[in-house]
Amino acid sequence: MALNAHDTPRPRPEAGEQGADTEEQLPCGRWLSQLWDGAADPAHPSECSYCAQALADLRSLDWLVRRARAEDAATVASGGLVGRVMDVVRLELRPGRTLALGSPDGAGWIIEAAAARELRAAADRLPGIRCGSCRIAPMRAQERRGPLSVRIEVAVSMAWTVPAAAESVRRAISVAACEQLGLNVQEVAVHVVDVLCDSNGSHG
Amino acid sequence: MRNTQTQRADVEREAVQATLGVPGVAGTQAALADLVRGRRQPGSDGQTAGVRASWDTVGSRWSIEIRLSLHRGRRASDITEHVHHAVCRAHSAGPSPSVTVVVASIL
Repeated sequence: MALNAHDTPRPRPEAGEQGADTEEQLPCGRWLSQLWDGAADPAHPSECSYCAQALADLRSLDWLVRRARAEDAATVASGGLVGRVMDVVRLELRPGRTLALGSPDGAGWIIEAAAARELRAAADRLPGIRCGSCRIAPMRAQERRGPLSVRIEVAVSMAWTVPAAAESVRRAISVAACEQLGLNVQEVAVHVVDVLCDSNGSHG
Repeated sequence: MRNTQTQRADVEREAVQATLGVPGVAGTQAALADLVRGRRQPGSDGQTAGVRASWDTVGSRWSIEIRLSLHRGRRASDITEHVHHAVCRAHSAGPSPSVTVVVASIL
């Protein structure tokens, strides 16, 4: 919408007309919405201090709204709150077995799903590797606080050889299990189940 | 010792306070299934969610299970050991309880 001349302000909306209750009129006689709609024509606001100030305020508000929208979009895109809530729900609905933490005579346990998430994250930090299923179980079923074995499925990029990828994943899993969790992991079986077509780890 | 609802609530409250005082603990965590099914223990005021105490008639002592969330950055097994010791130390009602600490999530 083009700006009207300074001496011919647009008439105020009639009662009942859309915008009648929310329209704000500036001291120079212009309507705020009119000023914003006509921002493409800067001639008048530069001559009028009321319009210039109002336009500056609107632009600040516009910038804040755009930034908030971008942040919201980024939050949604990265899994954000919804993703974290769903993680908790999944964890509760399919927690898996409880695994012994610490020494064989200790009292600590961890739910398999929580431990598996940490181990997957450790392997996912390796470039060109994406983890899938991760299962953790006692090596001997009758020993609930005995040594554990991990079975993890990964997809690797073409930058890796399979043995090198498997060894790196095995090392990352072992370090995370010991240093972050305190799990007694004795065996890590790495299954390479897919190939990623670029070094960023995306499927081709 | 009589296993009354009041005693149980006291034991759970002590356990929660001791647990929350351990560095690295983000909070106790009630099982979602319990919340959905409305399985709150009688005498519970909601502040002891994630802690369940029961009187073990065979061992003549309290058995306490604690489900908790941890902050990432400390070894989980160290935190569960500290929680175990803190809860045993804080327990004032009779012999040392049997304490089970379960890490339900790491934040």
